[in-house]
Amino acid sequence: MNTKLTFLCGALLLSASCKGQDVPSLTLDQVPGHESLAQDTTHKESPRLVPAEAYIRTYLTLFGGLTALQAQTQLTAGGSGLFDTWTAYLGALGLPNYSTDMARNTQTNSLMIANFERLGVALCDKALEKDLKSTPQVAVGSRLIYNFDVPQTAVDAAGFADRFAVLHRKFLGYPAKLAPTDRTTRFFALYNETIKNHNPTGSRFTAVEAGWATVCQGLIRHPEFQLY
Amino acid sequence: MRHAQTSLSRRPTVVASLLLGLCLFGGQSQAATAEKTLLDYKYFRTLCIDLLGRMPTEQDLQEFERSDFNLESWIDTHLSGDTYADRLTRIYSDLLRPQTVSFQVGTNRNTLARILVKDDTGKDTWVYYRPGQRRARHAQVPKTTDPTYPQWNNLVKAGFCLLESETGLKYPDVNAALPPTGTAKPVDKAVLDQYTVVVKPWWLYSDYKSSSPADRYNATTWPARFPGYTLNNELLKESDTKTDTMQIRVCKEEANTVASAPMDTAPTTTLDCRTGYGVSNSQGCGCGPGLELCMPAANFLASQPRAAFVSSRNTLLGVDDPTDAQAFEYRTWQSLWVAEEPQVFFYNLFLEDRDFREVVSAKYTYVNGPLAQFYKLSSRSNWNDKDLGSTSLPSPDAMPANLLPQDLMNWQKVDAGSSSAGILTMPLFLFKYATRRSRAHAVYNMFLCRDFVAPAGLLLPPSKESDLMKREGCAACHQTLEPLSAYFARWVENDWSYLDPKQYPAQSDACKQVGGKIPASCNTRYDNIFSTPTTGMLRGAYASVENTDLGAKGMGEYLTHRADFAPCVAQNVAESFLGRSLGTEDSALRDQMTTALVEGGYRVKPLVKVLLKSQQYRSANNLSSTVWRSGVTP
Amino acid sequence: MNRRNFIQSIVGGSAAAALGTPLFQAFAGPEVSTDEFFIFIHAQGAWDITVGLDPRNERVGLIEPGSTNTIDIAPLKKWVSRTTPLDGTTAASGYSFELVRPASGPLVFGPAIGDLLRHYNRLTVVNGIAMNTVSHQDGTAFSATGRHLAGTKTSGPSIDTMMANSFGLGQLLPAVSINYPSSFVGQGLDRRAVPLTIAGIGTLAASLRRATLYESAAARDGVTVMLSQEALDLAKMSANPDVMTGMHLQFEGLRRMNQENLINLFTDSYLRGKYTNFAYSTMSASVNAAFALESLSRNASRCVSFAYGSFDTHFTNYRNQALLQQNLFDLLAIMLDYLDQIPHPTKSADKLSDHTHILVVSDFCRTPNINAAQGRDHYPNNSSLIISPKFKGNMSFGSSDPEQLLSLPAKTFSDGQRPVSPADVLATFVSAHGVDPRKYLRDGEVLTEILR
Repeated sequence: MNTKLTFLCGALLLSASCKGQDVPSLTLDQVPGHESLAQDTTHKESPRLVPAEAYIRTYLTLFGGLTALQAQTQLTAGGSGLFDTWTAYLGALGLPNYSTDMARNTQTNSLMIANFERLGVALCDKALEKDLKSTPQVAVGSRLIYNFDVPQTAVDAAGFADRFAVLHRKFLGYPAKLAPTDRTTRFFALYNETIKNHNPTGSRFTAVEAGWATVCQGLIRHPEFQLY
Repeated sequence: MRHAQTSLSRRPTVVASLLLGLCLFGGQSQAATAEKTLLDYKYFRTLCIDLLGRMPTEQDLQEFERSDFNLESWIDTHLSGDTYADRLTRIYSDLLRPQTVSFQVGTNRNTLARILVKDDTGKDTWVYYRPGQRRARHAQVPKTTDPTYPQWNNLVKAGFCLLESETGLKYPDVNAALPPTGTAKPVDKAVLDQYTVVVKPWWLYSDYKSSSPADRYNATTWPARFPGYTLNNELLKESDTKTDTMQIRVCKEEANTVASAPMDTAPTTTLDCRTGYGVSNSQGCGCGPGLELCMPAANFLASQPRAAFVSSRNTLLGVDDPTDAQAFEYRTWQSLWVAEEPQVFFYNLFLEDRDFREVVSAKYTYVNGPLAQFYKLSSRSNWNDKDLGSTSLPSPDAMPANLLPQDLMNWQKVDAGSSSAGILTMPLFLFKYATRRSRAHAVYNMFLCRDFVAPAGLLLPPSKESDLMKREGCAACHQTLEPLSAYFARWVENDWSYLDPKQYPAQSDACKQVGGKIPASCNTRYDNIFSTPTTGMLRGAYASVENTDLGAKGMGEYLTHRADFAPCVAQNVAESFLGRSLGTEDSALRDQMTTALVEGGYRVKPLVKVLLKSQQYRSANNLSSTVWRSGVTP
Repeated sequence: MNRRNFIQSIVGGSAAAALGTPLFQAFAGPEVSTDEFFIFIHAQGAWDITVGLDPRNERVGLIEPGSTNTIDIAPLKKWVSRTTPLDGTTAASGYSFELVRPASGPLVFGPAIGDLLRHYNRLTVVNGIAMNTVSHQDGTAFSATGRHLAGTKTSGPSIDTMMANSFGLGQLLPAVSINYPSSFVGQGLDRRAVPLTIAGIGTLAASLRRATLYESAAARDGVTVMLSQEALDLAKMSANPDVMTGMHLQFEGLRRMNQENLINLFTDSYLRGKYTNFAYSTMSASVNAAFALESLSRNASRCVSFAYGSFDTHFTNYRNQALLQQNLFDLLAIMLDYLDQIPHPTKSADKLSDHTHILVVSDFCRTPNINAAQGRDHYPNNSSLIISPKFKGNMSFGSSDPEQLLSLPAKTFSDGQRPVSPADVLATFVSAHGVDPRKYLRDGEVLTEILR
């Protein structure tokens, strides 16, 4: 940690413990240690919600470029219980209702988050079935989501990172190495936890498949996927 | 997607993009990605969402990561096309909200109901009829005192062409909305031949205009030829629900195909058969070739139609990519396309980057097959005037001859008539915003970004002043609102009927007050309160006779000449793209966008380009300054 | 220090410093511990108070009362035609109605009051509310927020947001808004109080349904836990943390929703089957009312709000105005009956009705005169209805001009004599629950006269 940052963190802690004390009237560069502190002159904007139309278009693109009704048919096929109808989800996605003059929803809420979970799980699980469980096998390059080899057993951290990078680009649109949080490690932990706790009884997934499905879900449900 | 050719051809491209370049690890580019920062990626993703309507694919990312990638050029390329036009259309659709719960276009004069009778062989046969049709038999109806009169109830009350004595069926008053009663008996062949005829209707045959139609609806081949056009079984099967319907039997008058015909009670007067008045007053006025002017109710009453088509109530992705499939009766079918009209108009305005002022001034509109059909008769079937004057609706003659009712995805530009003014005279707008004031208010909101809000502390003391422009308190808003409302005085409230100045002058000598009241016959259209002993005042015109005569066109000119028209376009677009309201700190951006719009001849593309390159859109980040100072490159 | 390590140090090491920031203030509980519940109803489209809460049955001044000529009276339970025709002599002029008066007290209603009459002892009616607007958008916003629009934008939080922010942060669903004009605008609002805005109840069950044939519920919950942490970390790095903080809180809310199996709450058929007294075919929004009852009885929501209508009857559709109102008032009566029966979820000795507070408003009212199309247009007066144990029942406050139906001064406020404003009504409602109205409302004075 360089000196500048050490000071900064210290100052943050100090400011919390010195609540109520008089604050000296100084400009930033007069504060000891701040002589060379850069001013942040960049423009700040809060992230906004991806329009529901763009969410659905992206969803359909990820699912193979199908029409909404074609995707609906495939997602509900086989008694999966993964999907109902698009109509059931449109309101919770925030789409406006022009008939009733209900405006477009531009803020997330817990029900919308629940809806994102329902839709995200459907896509990841059904895509996994199509990508990894079809007969004949689907070539890696022809898969919808899981465009990497999936060994029968769990991969190690390095193997995970390579594969996760593919999914991260696909869903969030940039390399995982640029992620501002410790994302790869965090997702690797999720992957391992899922595998460790998976109960194959009554599940159409093996433990490893369930592990990759939850990684996929974590990305399509990620705040950075819903916002831009 | 409002334009079939472009949108439908886009999907294979999407699929191809998914398949391209994928290898062991998904085709991740080995190009030098390190030089791109997270902010670069996020900006590109934002551009994809706003201009392509979706997040970037692997192919998009690979293109972006190429060393020779030129972002300016990429933006220029994608500031056009289907998804760009869709994005901007969405802004104005959200403002206009072009649907309404109550919109219904059915009347007894554009609708074919049907009654199940037995033909001369005893076989069940639907006989289609238009309840509001003038018939030859109307001249033969006996007096109500005549003992045979009840036999004519079928004709007089239900509008059917066969009598009770001929069918064995008795039709209750239509107000009771009950099906025919009685026991059907075979109808004599001579009677059937005299009063009915067999037709191959438009909904079953694409070549219905030919002398011997042969191209019948085919559930296998038609979806590719006529995307989205799906018939419900009600129209595909006979009453046994099994036998394919190949042709229908219809009352004879309805089968007439002429565009005009003599008035029954005044044969020297020629009536336009594409008006409600013509239908009700001339037995010569039929439903046109293949019955194309009339819509199938698929039931015994026009007012209680059954599902005839299959379509979508959720078309927010575009009518070519519905998210549901539901049975539609013809009224909801027509209202769907009427609601699409302004959206297609916006779409093409942005797609072609036309002068945005046309939104309130255009003398053209767009129609697809069903909408063209709507404008041929349905749209004017509930008007009772013999002469519709210079209506603001597109003329039936302006409808493209090559546009079939099955052509759902084929939208064509047509002349909308001299009184039209962009979306201001579209039936959807006039009906959704049902009163003159609500119409004025809606456009005041939409195109000037303003609202009528009373000043703080305003008091509204009791007053006998009828003129809201003068009345204390009310005047604060109504001084502005009333003259604006007057622009819409020629469009009947809760309707889109047009009051032509020839028949309905803003100030009418015939409707002046006599003894303090205007004639009773004037009450519907003229307002006694603002009439005088010297002139009758058209309703809604009192605030400005001049604006009344200028009509919607005048409203368009008012809006586009206002100083806040162009800034409002900038505001609407910026707020949609940035996902927040503009504040005073955004005034420079708004000014730049406004300048780009005005200097670009009111084309919206230059305005959007300014926005996409602004720091608010392009270089904004949400990192706290602490994190930013850490050296994190956003 | 690389970026990731630095960020981790911010996220972890300086967390203590961050506890005083707005981000962490969001984790504080409700400002006032409460067992109270709130239901807000917007009579959408502007109701005609002359047949309901501020009745008129004589031709006086501008007033043209509803009559047998302009109203379909057959379904109106409380309609009793007057014996004298409207014009005093001619039957063709139609017959107005007899005013509906409860057994005692000052309240007087029009025939649309329906079955709510039997609950008159609980009703607080505020008449003569000066709206100063006849724009639906503005009137709707004014009634719900106490503020006129600023340009075309709402400039304050709606009443459901206010109450959810003060009392609902610990609830699974602080505020559920079904077509209600909710707004989340203003300072000092916690993101958890964002009203969950939905178009209808029945369609929401699908969003909460979960497949059982693939990964486990625990695995999905693991995803949610991780995402919640991601959102929190991203919030801590943000200049404007509100959005990410909100998502963090919503992920936590989702975990509770999944654990508590809320599908029934949002299932139309379940609600219809349980709350059978509502006339679902004729009372629009009955499912919303049933949802409110179920949601409150399960302690899932603090506020439920919904719109009822449309009352926008400019044309011959005015014939149904009184019936529409009767349906709304009947719906309220049935709700009260249920609230009287349902035990409070946390106070076992009490019924829900002991702690449920209902506010019904509209955009504004309709004109005292009937227009050429046999309807009534917009008019800048209004009435509201409050049903709350904290308000005096069988109470009427404020009035309107007998000839013109305009708002009359109700009392001397701090700024002088004037009529009641929507902000006064909202300030009173907020204040009744111990919250300083100025926390949310720029204007408005408490009407102490109507509080218990």
